[in-house]
Amino acid sequence: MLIGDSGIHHYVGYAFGLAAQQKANDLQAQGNKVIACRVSTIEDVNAALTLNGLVGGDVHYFGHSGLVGYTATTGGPITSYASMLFVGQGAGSDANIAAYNYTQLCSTNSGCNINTFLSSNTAIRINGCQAAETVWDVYAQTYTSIARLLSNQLNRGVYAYDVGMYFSSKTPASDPYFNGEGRLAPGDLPVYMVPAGAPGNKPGPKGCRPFAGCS
Amino acid sequence: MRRSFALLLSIVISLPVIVRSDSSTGPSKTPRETIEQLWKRATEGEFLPLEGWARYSGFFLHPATRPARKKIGVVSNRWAVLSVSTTASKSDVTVEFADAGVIDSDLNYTPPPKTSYFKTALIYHLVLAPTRLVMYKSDGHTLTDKEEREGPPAWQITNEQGDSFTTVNTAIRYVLEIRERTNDSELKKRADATLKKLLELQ
Repeated sequence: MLIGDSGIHHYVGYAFGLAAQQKANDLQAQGNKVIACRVSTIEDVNAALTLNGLVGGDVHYFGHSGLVGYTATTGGPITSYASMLFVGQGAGSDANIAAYNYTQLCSTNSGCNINTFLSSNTAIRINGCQAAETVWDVYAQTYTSIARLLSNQLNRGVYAYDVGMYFSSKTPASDPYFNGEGRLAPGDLPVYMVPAGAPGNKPGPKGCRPFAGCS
Repeated sequence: MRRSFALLLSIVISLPVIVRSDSSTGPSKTPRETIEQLWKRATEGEFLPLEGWARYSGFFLHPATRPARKKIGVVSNRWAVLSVSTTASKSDVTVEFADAGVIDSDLNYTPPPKTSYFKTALIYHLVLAPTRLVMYKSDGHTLTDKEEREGPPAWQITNEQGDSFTTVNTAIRYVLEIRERTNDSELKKRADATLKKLLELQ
């Protein structure tokens, strides 16, 4: 479990931690062992992936993600985008994982072999907004998403949503709302991250395969 | 003796003063430092007074003329330089922030458009180019009619200048100050409405 910062502009309090705790409880109830890591930078994420031995199950990220809109002047129209995981709320480029730095994760330049740390069946599951939304990324200089880039870098399947997400005490299958507008995240368990979409017909995550795109 | 000293003093006082268009952005500043200084000065509200436009213009290679109707862009209190990419004479510096709307000269506040993106970022394109030396009269504000001269090279922004801007907290102070100074009851009302919205952004 990788649990990102709660954010400043989009503050969510303890909601990411609670959603991760919910997932951990569900996994442990099935007999799985869970390692939980608070992460605020790409270095934290890299350490979590590479300093915990071989991860046999999936890697779950609970945190902010989505698009940065680029403008030519303050207050001007948005003219381009970049897809990112907003891991930390601090200032600086390493608080994000984006096309400009994702190759730092288990970098082959430093001799990292991802197969030492992730089993061949491991998938990365991103619980955050729009991480699979394809845009013309200003840093990648191509149409892509951060989910797709991570799949290429970690050589594993990455599952992420191309819509926004919100917090609910109901599972995605039973949540009665379209999105989280006007409602606070639950203050206690159970807490689930639910994709925006019609109740009873919520979209599933996109699956990105290494160097084979997302569908 | 006293008369000649007074004469000398009057000559010295009336001499034009030569200053750079932006005296604090010297060639020793890196592209990152240049942009950080732009944003720090914006955060401190330096571009909000009438003479602030000239200070703001000093960062740009092709400064714009001051718009007839002033608009102030409002940005989040927190901002950060996201990335810097520099070659010998060009540099791109990206600043990330959250767009927080616009205040016009009548103190009307317009919130930012509702969007699906999480943050806003601005890529400043800079070039290393000679600065402009302009001459002010002894009052320190009025430009002389003398032509601009070329000064030492500094990193300058090639983007369109756009409206001056400041952060939410400074915008609150700015609106409060105008509200306190004015006797215009309509302006006070608009200031109150704008303050209420700005305070919700904090």
